[in-house]
Amino acid sequence: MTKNFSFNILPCLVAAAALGLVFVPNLHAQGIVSAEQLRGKKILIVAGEPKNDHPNDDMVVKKHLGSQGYVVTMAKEEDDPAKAAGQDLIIISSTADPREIADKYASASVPVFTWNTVDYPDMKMSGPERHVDFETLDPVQDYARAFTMLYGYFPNVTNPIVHELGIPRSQMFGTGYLLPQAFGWARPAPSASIVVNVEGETTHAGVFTYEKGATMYGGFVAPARRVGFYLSDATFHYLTAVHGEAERDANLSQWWVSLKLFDASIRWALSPAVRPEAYDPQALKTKLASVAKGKKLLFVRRLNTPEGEESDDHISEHFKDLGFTVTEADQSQPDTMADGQDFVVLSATSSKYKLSNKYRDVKVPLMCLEGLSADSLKMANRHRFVDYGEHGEARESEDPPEAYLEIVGSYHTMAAGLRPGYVKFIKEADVLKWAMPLPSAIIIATLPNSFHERAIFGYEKGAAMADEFVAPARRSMIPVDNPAFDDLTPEGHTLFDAVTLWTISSPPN
Amino acid sequence: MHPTLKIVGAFLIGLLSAAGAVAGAAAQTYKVIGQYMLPGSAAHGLAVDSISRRLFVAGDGGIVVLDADTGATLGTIQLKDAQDVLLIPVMKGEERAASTMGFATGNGTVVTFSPEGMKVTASVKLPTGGASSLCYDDDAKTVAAVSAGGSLAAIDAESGKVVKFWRVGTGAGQIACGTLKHVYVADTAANVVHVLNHGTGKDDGDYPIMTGSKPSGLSLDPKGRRLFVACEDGTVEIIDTDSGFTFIELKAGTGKARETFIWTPQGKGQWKAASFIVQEDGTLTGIRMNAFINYSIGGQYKLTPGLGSVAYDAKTHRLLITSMNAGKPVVLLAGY
Repeated sequence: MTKNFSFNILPCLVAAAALGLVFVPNLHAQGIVSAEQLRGKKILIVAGEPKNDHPNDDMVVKKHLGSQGYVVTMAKEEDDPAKAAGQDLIIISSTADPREIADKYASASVPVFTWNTVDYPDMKMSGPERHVDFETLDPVQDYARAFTMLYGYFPNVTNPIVHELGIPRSQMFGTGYLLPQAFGWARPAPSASIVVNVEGETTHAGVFTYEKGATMYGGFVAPARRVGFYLSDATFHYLTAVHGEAERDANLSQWWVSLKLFDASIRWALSPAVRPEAYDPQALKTKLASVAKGKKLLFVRRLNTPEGEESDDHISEHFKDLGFTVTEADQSQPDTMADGQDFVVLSATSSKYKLSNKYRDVKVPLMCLEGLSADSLKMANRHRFVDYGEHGEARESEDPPEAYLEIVGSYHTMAAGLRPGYVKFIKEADVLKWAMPLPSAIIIATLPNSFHERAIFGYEKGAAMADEFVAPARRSMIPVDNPAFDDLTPEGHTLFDAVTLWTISSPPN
Repeated sequence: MHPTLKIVGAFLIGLLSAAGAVAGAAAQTYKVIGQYMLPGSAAHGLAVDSISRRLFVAGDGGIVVLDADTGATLGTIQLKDAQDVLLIPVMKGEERAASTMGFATGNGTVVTFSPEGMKVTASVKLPTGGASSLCYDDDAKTVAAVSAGGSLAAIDAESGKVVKFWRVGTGAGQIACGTLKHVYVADTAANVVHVLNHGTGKDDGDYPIMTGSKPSGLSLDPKGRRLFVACEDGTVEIIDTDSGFTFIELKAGTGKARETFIWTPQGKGQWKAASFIVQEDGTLTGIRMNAFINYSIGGQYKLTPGLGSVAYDAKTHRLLITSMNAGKPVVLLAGY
């Protein structure tokens, strides 16, 4: 029998703030607080008992964190989770028996940083099946494969943790020092950010995070930030670092970067979580209008079309109402139409076949309403019905029509403050398209019961898209098929506005 | 600062002592099997020419030259307060030949001498006084002289002439010449290993000492990629010089340390290679290479307190160690 654990430090913070005891930290790039500002933060490490015949690094981790100014306390796997009260971060070591700790800390309202891979399912950080949803790799059992774990890949340089490391582009790095080591990876839920993946598998995450409010496995909503890290019992001291002359060689200093990755991940976990604004369609519309005012929007559609024309007209009117200066272009016109524009929107009336590769390279934000264009826009790979597809299109889809989406990234601006879970997107079940974007994408909504079919998502400027194409500006996808704009529910309209707002807003830094 | 852990050493010791038990024949027990008395009141660095069978020991009275097999004194090379001595290796085809040139340093001076004639042939003054050490860069054919007072000198090994002097932060510990003109210097006080460059005179960057304290002994494998750092608190850190990363930490003796790296120190079929560490507390430690990436404590032997420097006699497979015996300097012969 395990106990769920929850406590709330908010009243304490409010009281402390009232007494002037709390300072608002200056956030570094994309919200990670500096080590100096985090000094004194309390960390609880939940670890197993040290064994003479099975050395581990738990005390080395403790010493390392202590050297950075954190106040570190150790807890045993059998301890009551109430021991974590008052802590700022819980660390779960792989030395703790995953069957003993089970879901004790799943509901913790403070961040959890774990390298207990086998406990990921109980933490709702991965699915339950070993070798499918997560895996621990032991070089004694699988020596040759363990070599592959010496290499990690940063798929998303716009991730705040990777950004902290100064990694300039998606690239490989050395995870641990040269000897094949025990390792853990997981296939996280769609809302996770994959910081590091391994083995050339984009979904095999060595390091991944969940923002507070993100939907984890089984619909479980992250009560606070969560981090999974590829460490094992005795591998912390092998996390790569570089000293001496090699420090000045960018290729080497960006290769042996794992200890910095660990430190930045700890700091990300301890930094303030994103606080989504409440669902308020009118406030959102007002905000969008203030950003849209005076911006030049190119709306690319199929003019003089027998289908979707009225809907496209209404989309165009909506943008005008918001304050955009709208220019309409036919799908057949060259993409130089985008010159001088601030924002490009591709209607679903545009034919992927006729649109060709146009607008892929535009240096301004782009929002696409046609999921089937995901591959030509580099938003997904090219395997139809695997990397992108659709529900409800007669003879073109094996899935039935659908009216709902499942919000999995409720923490994000694009989710418009909608709560996690199902949201009715269009009034009647109809065509809804989806794509499987790259790990660098921000996932907001999926099709219900179709875990890998991502309906609303975006790429930050600079993110690596398909084929390592680097997003020249923000890119977003929302499935508003031909006539669907007129069929959007109020929530669907609000999502449309929220995705528009995020797409045209300035990226951090 | 990257942490390392003592537990790694313990783990590897456990793992490899198990391996050693299986190997059986590979285990060797080193002990003192003889000693040579020295004149003067102190002995420091030493070098042995295993071909000519001459042993050169730096001491306060100069460089004492002994017969390496008998310990008989053959002569003395004049150099006040000699600290270190170095023989330039000579190869004839695949075979080692007797050295024809030696260097020694003491009291802010570096001298070149003839090992056979035991005569000083040239002398140069270092920019700083005090203790200094020598190492030889076989790629660049350069002798590097590092003064604890804060200077680096590059000396042409063939002509004996100084190429250049630099003022640069150094340290009081042992030095080792590596590849790419690197000179590693243990800075006991600063708790780092400096990576100096005898081509530029600059410090190319420091390696931090992880959990150890007061590094004083250094040895480097001849490929230049594994640096063994012995600290006075008993920690030995093995650093990958490509990254400056300490990947193994082991436990040795305590006190000021000196080291030497040897390939097949017990002959073929035995240890692949080892770094032998001698320390003030009298401990001789053999760091055994199991693989280029895997090292363990091959053995630890209590000899006698006050061990100084160590050299290896390739002919006899013995270690030659400067030490003190009843207040008098000696060279201990350690073998198995």
